[in-house]
Formats: sequence, C-alpha cells, structure tokens
Amino acid sequence: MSPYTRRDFLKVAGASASVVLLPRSLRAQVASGRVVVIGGGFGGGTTAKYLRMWSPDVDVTLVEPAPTFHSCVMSNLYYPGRIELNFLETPYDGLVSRGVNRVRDRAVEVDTAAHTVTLANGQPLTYDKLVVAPGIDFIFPPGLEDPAAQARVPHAWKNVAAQAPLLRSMLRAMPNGSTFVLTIPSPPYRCPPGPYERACMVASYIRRSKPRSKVIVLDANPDILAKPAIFHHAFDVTHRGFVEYHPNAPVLSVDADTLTAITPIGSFQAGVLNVIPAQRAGQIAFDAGLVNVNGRWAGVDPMNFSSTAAPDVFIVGDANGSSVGKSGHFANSEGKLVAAAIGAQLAGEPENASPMLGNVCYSAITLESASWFTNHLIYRGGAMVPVPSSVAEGPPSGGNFERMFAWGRNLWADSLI
Amino acid sequence: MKLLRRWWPLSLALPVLAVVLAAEAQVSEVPVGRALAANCFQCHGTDGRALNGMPSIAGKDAPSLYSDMLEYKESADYRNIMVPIAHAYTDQELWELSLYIASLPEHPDEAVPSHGGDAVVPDDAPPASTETEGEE
Repeated sequence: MSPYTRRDFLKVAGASASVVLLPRSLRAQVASGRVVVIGGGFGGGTTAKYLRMWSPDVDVTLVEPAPTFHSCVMSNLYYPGRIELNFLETPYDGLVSRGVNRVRDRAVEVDTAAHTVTLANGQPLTYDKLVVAPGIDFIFPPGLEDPAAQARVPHAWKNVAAQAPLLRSMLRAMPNGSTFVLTIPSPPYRCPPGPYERACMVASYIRRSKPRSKVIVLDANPDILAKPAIFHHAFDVTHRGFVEYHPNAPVLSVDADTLTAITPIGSFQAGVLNVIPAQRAGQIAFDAGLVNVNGRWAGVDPMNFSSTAAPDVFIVGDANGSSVGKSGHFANSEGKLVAAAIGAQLAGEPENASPMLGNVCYSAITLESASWFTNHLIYRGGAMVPVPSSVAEGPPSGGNFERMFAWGRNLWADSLI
Repeated sequence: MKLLRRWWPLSLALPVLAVVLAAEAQVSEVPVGRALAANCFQCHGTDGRALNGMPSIAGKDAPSLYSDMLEYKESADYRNIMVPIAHAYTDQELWELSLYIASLPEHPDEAVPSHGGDAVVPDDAPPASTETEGEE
C-alpha cells in the first residue's frame, strides 16, 4: 500500500465526480510577509535560506555584522595546524543569491510590540515575523571582567576569526615544558564535546612540537559530559602523559596577570590559559526582553521555537532555552523547523504538530582519527525528547576523520549557500 | 492510474471527509516528507545534492531509498552512523522522506517534478496513513 498524503487527498478529490466543492479556505495560500533574521550563524543562516527556498514570496532580511561566516564547528583542528582559517570561512554570497537581503550591521534594539528592529546605524526594520539567532555571550568569572584581562585569556568559543588566531599564537609561543590550561563550564554551553576535542587537538600539537608540555583540563562537571568513554580513552590512552583531566574543578576566579585559574581543588598556573566561561543568550535577546529561562536563555515553545515572551518572534540556535543541545547541526535543524513554521503561519496553513530535529557531531581525537555522536529528537508532550534508538556514538577511526571533513563542508553549505 | 485504482474507495467517503475538513481553516500543501527529509540535507546536501565526500541522494527512486533505509533500520551494526539515524524514523516516515527526496531533481536546473509522482510502490511500503508517529 502507498502512504496517503494531504496533497494526494486533494488530487483524488479533484478527480472524483462525487466530491463536493471544497471551500476556498481549504486551498493553500501563498506565504508572504516580511521576516527579519538577527544573526548569520548556523541557525539564522539556515532559517533565512530555507525561508527563501520554501516560501519564495517572503521577504527575508538577514542582519549580521561579520563580513563572512567562520565556523566554530571543526575550528579545533586549527590549533595543531591541520586546517587554516580560510577552511572555516563561508561567505554570505550564497544567501544573497537566494534572495536574502543582507544587512551588514548590528541589531541594537527590538520593539516586539511595534514589530521593529533598530540597527546600529539608526535604520529601523519592520517585520511580520522576527528570528532571533544571536548565539551566545559569556558570564566571565571574577578576574576576567575587563577586556584587557580577556585579551590575555582567550576563550576561542565564538568570534573564531579573531579568537582562534590569538589562542594559536599563544600556543605556538608557549615554552616547551609549560602547561596549557583549559577550563570547561557547567552546562548548558555551546558544543558539549568541543572542549574535550580541543584538549585532544592541543595535545596532538604538544606531543609533536613541545613534548615536555601538557594540557591540564579543569572541568566544572563531575565527569566528561559528551562521549565520555571515547574521551576518557583519548586522555588516558591515546594522549597519555599529555592530558591531565580534573573533574569537579569549576573556575572560581582568574588571575589574568599570572595566568592562574583558581578552583576548589587548587590553583593552576598556566603558560597558556584558555578559559571557556559560563554562557548565556546573546545580548540582543536580553535587550529585546526575550530572556525568561534561568535569567540566561530565551524561552521557546519547542514545537516551533516561537518565543514564550513575545508574539511573532522565534529563537533559533544556542540562545534558546529549550532542552535541545547547543550545536551547529541542531541549530541548522531548528532553522529548517522555524522556516517551515513561519511559512505555514504566513500562509495561514497548519503547522507540523510532531516535528523532529536531527543532530550529528564529529569530534577529532587525533590528527588522523575522529569519532561521532548522533541523536534525533521528536516533539512529544510539549517537549523535544530523544528517540532512544537514534542515540549512538562511533569509535575513533580514519574513515570517520575523512567523513568529518565532508560533514563540515556540507553542513556549512546547507546552512549558508 | 495505479494509485487512483488503489484509492477509488476513498471517493465514497469524500463528502464526509470534505465536511470534516471544512472545519479546519486550511490544509497544508507541504509534502509530509519535506520536514523529515530536511534532516538528511546537513550531510547529503541541500535538496539531497551533496558536496564532495558524501553521496548525493536527490532524484533516486523512492523504493530504493526506502529499501536502503529499511536495511539500515534492520541492522544492529551501530558502527555505521546511518543505522542509528534510520532508527529515528518509523517505516511510514522513512517512506514519506523517500518520496520527497525522489521528487527532487538530481541537478538544480532540472524542473522539479510533482512530489511523489506516480512512484512504483514497493511491496514492503508501509500502510497508508495521513499521520506519522515517532518511535516511542
């Protein structure tokens, strides 16, 4: 038997002599209207692109100050020199060629009652639907509040184009025998496996170029949060002697002058100190009055990622307060879900009542091997819940290392080209 | 038409269905498989046309796609990433996403055929349903 879709129903209905005339309200309307997207990352880019693909009569404006996109995904491979910065870069031309209006500026104000966004240059934009996808901002620990201290202790957890070269130059200048101290915050934070992958990549560099050095990982959590078996093996076996892992070691404060991280288990003085601070939604989500989850995140209805704080607003990607993991791949998936939801709303059609989100995450373990993790979520009972049989992780292998590159390239293209 | 022959009894129920559906404001024109298939595109490329290193899937025939996904779903070899991914979907959902992917042109300049078209329905295709259910 064949499945039976609503479209097919209409086809059959049209061919049947017994059909009563369908009311005008049953015919699909064309989605039209004006959508503004704040933020050109995985979430915002995908939303803008798929809105243009699936609802071509919708006017889409993307507000993003960066000249090009630089991916956090796969950026850890930059530290040992396996890739250069241009590998992580995707221009916004692809979105423009799809008809997205690109505004290279920052959104500084949102009036959700008046449905307006104000740019840094003072120009107002009006919207029927607003997508807020600003990613993360940081909650810096004591000692790292001021920019001068932050310049000595990079996070390299956003703003890849500026932060990654800064951190790599520090790593390369680090004396052989000195330590690279990496700190990991409590969740939720962007890319749960990312810090552990970074430890592996810095260790891969150190063992070849500074063999008397090591990576000290200070984890605020009681254990490795993502792919624990794989990363424990990586730290204890693959990179044995080059990685020292400490759980239950949250950063209480930082001395940026001496590059020291102070934790409950002791103070750690570093040659390079890489503090990944605790995180919150990007600032514009706060300024727009959208943050209502733990004082840090913008709450959403996970069926369509519409804001629980304001009408006609959607929060895509790391800034939202849903239970969905903060990953580039998930943000892409959310972007498609939101593009479909906005298209349906603007056309006056019913929305997908049981949407799914997909996630794949590759992590490099060495310069020749990578592992993966995958999970799918489905909307059930008012929440996005895992489909248990879809949750799995793959052991490190050379084949996975090659597939990681294909995954990254296709993910960037699907989000932004 | 094979599909119309298969569904001719539906015409008897149409007056009732039309009245029921008239209570709704709209009926979606969006193919059921689009949202499901979109989760393939991060790796297999937008509309199933991948860059180097991943197989493109656009325009493959629906029964083959469906059969491949069922094979992954029946496998317990979780070292292959497609196995857990296939387990995320019901058979019905796999059929819907296969239909949608089959409707996409292999090359972007080709005309987009109607969704699903008159695809040959494999013997092991799932039973007809207007609803999809996730695995519990």
